[in-house]
Amino acid sequence: MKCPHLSKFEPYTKRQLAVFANKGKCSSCATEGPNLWLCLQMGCGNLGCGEAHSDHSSKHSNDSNHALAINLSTIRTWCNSCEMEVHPFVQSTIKNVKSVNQRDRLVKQQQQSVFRVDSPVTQAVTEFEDGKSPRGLTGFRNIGNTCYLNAAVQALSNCPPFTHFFLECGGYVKTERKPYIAKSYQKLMEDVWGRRRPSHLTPSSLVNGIKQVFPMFKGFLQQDTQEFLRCLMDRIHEELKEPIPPHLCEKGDDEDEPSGIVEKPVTSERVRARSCNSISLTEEEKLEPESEASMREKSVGSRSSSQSPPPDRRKGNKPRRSRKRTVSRAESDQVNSPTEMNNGGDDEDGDGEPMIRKPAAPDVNVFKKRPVQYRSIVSDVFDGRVLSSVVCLTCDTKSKRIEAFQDLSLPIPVGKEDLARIHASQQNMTSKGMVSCVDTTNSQGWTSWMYNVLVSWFWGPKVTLEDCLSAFFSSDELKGDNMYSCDKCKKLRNGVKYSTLTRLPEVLCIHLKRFRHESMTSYSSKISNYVKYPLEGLDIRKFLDKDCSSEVTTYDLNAVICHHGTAGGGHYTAYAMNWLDEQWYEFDDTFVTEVSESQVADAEAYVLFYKKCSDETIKMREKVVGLCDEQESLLHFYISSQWFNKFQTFAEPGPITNNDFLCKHGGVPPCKSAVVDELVTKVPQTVWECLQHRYGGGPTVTHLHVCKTCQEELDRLQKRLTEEKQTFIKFHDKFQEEVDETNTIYCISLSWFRQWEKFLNSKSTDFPEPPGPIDNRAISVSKGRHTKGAEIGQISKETWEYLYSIYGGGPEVIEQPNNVVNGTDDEEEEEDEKEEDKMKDARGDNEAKDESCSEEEINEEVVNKENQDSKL
Amino acid sequence: MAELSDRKHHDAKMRATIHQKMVETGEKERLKELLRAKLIECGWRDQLKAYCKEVVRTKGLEHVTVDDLVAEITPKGRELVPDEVKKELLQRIRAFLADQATI
Repeated sequence: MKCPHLSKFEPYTKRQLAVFANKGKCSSCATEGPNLWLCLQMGCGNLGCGEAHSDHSSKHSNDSNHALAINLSTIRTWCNSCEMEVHPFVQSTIKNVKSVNQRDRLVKQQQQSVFRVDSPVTQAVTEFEDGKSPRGLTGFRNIGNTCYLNAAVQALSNCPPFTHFFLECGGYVKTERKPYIAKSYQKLMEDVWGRRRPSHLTPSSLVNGIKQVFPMFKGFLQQDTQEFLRCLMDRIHEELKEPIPPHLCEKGDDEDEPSGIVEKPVTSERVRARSCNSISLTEEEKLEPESEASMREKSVGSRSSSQSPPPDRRKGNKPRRSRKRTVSRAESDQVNSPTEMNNGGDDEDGDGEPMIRKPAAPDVNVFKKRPVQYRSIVSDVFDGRVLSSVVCLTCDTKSKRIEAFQDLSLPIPVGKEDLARIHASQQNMTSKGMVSCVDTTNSQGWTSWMYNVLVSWFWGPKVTLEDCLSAFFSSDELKGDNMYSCDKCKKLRNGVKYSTLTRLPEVLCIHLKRFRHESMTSYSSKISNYVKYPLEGLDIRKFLDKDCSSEVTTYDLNAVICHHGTAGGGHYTAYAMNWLDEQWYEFDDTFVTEVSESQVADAEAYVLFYKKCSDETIKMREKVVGLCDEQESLLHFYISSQWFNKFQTFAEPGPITNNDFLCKHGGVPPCKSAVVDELVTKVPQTVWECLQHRYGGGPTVTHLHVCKTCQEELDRLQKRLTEEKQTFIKFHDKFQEEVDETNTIYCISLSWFRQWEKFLNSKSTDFPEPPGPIDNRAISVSKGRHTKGAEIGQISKETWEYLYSIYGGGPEVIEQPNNVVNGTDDEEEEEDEKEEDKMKDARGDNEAKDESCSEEEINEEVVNKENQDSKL
Repeated sequence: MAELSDRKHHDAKMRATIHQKMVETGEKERLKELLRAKLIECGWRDQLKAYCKEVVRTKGLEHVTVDDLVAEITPKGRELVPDEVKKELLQRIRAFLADQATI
């Protein structure tokens, strides 16, 4: 029974109603209210007093035939004609806040524009162009010494290549692993860059998420911002990583692998070279006689030996923690250094994924999986590659190794001699200067360091960022304690090690090693020397390798994190340039202030973020906008919105990556079909041709369709999963019930079994990997005595043959048939029960958490059986 | 004019008396219970609950206050009440008044 008078009424806003309520008087008798009624007839605006006074409101209604009036005190509307309450201002759902007209307008806008109309980025630009102040000037509350987090996040927030991905490509942000840090970051960015423009926010979900995944951040102690950045970046990469299709993998990463390496994924490389040289080998370890792997380590690690063992850059006075934790990763089929990997092998993920470490034995090949490389927005933005070469001074052989890095930890040369040496070597840089520069801050004791501080205090030549870079890339002499073990000479030799860049990241993150830690005395100190750094035009061409793949080598400063205080305690703030108004702002927890360039240049920088700049790309963007504005083309092409976002924010977006939203058959994979509109951008033909011509890549897509082949595969897979599961259950139940002891019992490696179980329980929307062939090696090695920690499951012959027929592998491991010996009936029943329990768990949808407990039991069981057998 | 103010007083007094009577006889409680049951039965509670969740989701959990929420969902709640429920309650109240008039 809808009121027919609702079709037309004056759409007052809440604010206007409030104004009326405060100042309004009855149009007839000038009474003030409360309970004044405002006539809702279009253009009328009559105010009338209510029944408590003279009820001029009803009088007006009757006289002028205006049906609707709203009570300004209760904000309720009355229809005088229908004599009932009505609700003109209530929307049916929040989503339909906009009226139909507005919605149509938005759709039309979107059709005309290549840029997402509802994205905060587009809106921010529009608002700014309309004269409003820029978005993004939001501070963060400090919730317990969290300035390390606040400063870091502010620096990242003002890094468009990174943050715009989260703002515009929400469809690509996965929420698969608790506690969804990537999603927390995304929400935070949406709040900072959204319409509401709060003056400050409390980033609680991000903080809580980080504390959950990285327990070292629990509590409220001060932390180091660079460590936090690494943890955050690593985690986001873990959550968002996608495999790179094989045809796009970089070849360089596979160089110099000893045989049997299973994976050298970008992540683990990146993590290992966390700060490109904070490979955590202590000095003692390195000097031990090496295996092949650790020799390789030596060539790289020597640099870190000439520097302190990973310095404790924490602000607080905490004892040095082992960095090895972050070096060993969940994915670590990272075999390069089994020595260092074995420590701290705890899993880092909050979700308790166990790490599977494969030994680097050459006969691994049968069971090896093809190496997979991963990428994510993190690696796209921050990953670079360094080529470390070592030359043996005796036989002149060069040994090379490529490492990925996400930030460069630069030493700060202090003291006249070093600076002089660096300046000299800078001139020789092109010949890969053989001038060595030992990092003085770390190899000398602290007294000489103090001396250097005084020296530079009095005669301080200004240290520049270039000096630090030169120090980093300059050559190291490998001699004395740090001799190099040459492959060819097969002995320790004098060598020289130097590094060059083979791939430049879009955003170069530079970390200045200001904090120094003395392992013996647990003494921490900070180098507060001012380092001069350019705000624009940082050119790192001279550190490039001749084979560098990047074309752009110039960088502009984007953000800077500064530390104020001492190694014992201090405060972090950040300076960042807002991309909208190109002004510099200081972010000090909740306070955001505009600052001058000179203030930024004079700051004591700790972590610097430099962004590649390229005029050519800017011109390309303008060109694209121009092409879009031209007449509509009839045929539209689809581009991955992730790539398009890169094109808008990166200097070198690389080739077009339409495989972001396509399956290998060229259609849209079923799991993405629901959100495909968020994953693609529609562009006119001219734009497509222009972009493809310049950047290459593809494939060309003019029509989106859900891939039938994938769907069929998924259906088949689902069927297979169900079938395998049910068959197993069927056979295994039979096995449990069988009392006939003469049947042979087969053994199966529990670790393989768990993999298979996980496969069975996987969701059918992604394509889970079936486990490889059955791998019973661990349990077959010894008869009766099992490899330490090898876990065995017992299955019937039928089950074995079924699984073997699908997966192959082996070898077969058979238990001696159960034989009943007097007095052991009870014992046997007990064992059967235990076995059953274990298998039941496996059958159920548990992740077999109990298996590790029952492992002991099973081992015992088998041993008991052995004993029985021998008794016979 | 005097008439008008008289009427005002008279109205206010009426309101107070009726209310008092409702409480005394327990009718108010009964009506409240009836209303509660009716609103649950017709799905009003669930609808409003869903709307509430939408509001929280749209605004973000960190930004929403109870007062905000109440202000946002109140008009919606009013709109969602079905006419039948309104009618029935009215009827009950009228019946009550009729009873009272005879006393």
